[in-house]
Amino acid sequence: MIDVEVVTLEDNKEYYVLREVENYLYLVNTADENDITIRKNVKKDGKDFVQKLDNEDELKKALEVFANN
Amino acid sequence: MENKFVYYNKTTGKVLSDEEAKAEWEQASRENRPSNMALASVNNLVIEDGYVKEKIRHTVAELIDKSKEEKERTVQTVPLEALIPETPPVQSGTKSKDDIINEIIEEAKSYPTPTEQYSVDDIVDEFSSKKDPKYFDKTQEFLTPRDTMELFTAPSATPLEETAEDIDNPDYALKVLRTAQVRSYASNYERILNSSVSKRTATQTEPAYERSGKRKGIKYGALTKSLVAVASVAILISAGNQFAKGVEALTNEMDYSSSVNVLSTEYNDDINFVNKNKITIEGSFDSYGHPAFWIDTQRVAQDILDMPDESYIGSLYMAYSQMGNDRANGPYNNWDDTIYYIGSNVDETHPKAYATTFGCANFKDFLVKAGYVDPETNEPSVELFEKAGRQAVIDFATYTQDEDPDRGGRI
Repeated sequence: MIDVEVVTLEDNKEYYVLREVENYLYLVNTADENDITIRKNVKKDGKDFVQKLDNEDELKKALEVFANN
Repeated sequence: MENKFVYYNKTTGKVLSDEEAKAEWEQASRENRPSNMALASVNNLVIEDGYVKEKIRHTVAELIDKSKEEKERTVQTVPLEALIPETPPVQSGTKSKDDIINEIIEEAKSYPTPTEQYSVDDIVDEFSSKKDPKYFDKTQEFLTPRDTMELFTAPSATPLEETAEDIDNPDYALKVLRTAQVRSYASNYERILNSSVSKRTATQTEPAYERSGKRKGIKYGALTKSLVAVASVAILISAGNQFAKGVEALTNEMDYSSSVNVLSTEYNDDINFVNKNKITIEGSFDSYGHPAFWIDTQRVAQDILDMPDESYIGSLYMAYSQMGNDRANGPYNNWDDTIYYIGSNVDETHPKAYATTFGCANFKDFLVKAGYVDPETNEPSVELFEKAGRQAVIDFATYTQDEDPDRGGRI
């Protein structure tokens, strides 16, 4: 067994953090391995938050970051 | 014809044992760099005294003949123990290890062959959960995307075979896994796009969810499939983007002692993997032959097109800078790797393009001859070329074998 960070997103779904590269997080639903999403980490008042990407261009950038690291 | 794969050191040519390959992989992971080894079929290598002396290039005619030979030979059954760790991942209670192996074999035989529709769920779930330590490192749970593609693009001299007996063969199992992986690209991308990108309007605030630091235990290997899904999409997106950069560099390059190979022709039915674009494009960056990008959407028979010896019989290949392409040797010596490689090798410190010319004076000439002309202005259109290149990558990724297995494509 290994320990993996989980974050809770919309509808109280929990997601494993598959990887974190730069400020992008690659997540998978703990209850559905096909439910994959990519979010970004944003800082507010010294805390870390997970937020959706702005647009498809940012998604492609996040995917390229994943591929290149 | 033996169907065995070996790892070898790309610099020295030394054939590596499983332990040596694993050690190199672990070292590369620690150092966050591509591994310095390649995986190749022994059929494509000349090995002497434990070193790769030469790579064998096969013409299309030879490959077709080999394919026919393969179909006639008796397939040797290889036990699936290589895919199963010493300790079965599932505690079976009263079942013996042999019972489990037999169950896996019987279940794997029930999977549809590649000419039928199947989902990555079926294949990845089955084979990735029975890890061969040679391919999956237990300390990290999964290979990096770079190493994943390096592994999953293992070359073969023969087109994909489609016999139930082959399911017993771990090498074939990996081919199936890789096939499923690239086929998953299209559906995964759309799924990830819909879940990841904000749909808010300019006046709406996108909700943010605090990271509490909470952690959960999970079985080793349980996240493999999801990582495969992301990796397959990520690497292909990256390849498409790098191709566009390559196009930009080519168009910006004024000194055209360089130009682009253009092979635009019809292909007869004996050639496998026919793509609708029907264009072979070859380019390279820097004078060392450092491979930049090749989009070969069709396989080109050397005897049909009468190409010089240094030309390669292509496949869909974009040299990938972080996949460890050999700068000194270029694509021709990486013949085995080029068959299935996807990636791009645009080195931004070496933007000068260089390539061999086949009937084109320059890049614009190529665009015209290849048909990438703006219908309104009748001027060469880089945008059309770029679009075609991106689509070629996607076409390759989502390519499915022809219904006729004799004409089946290679991935």
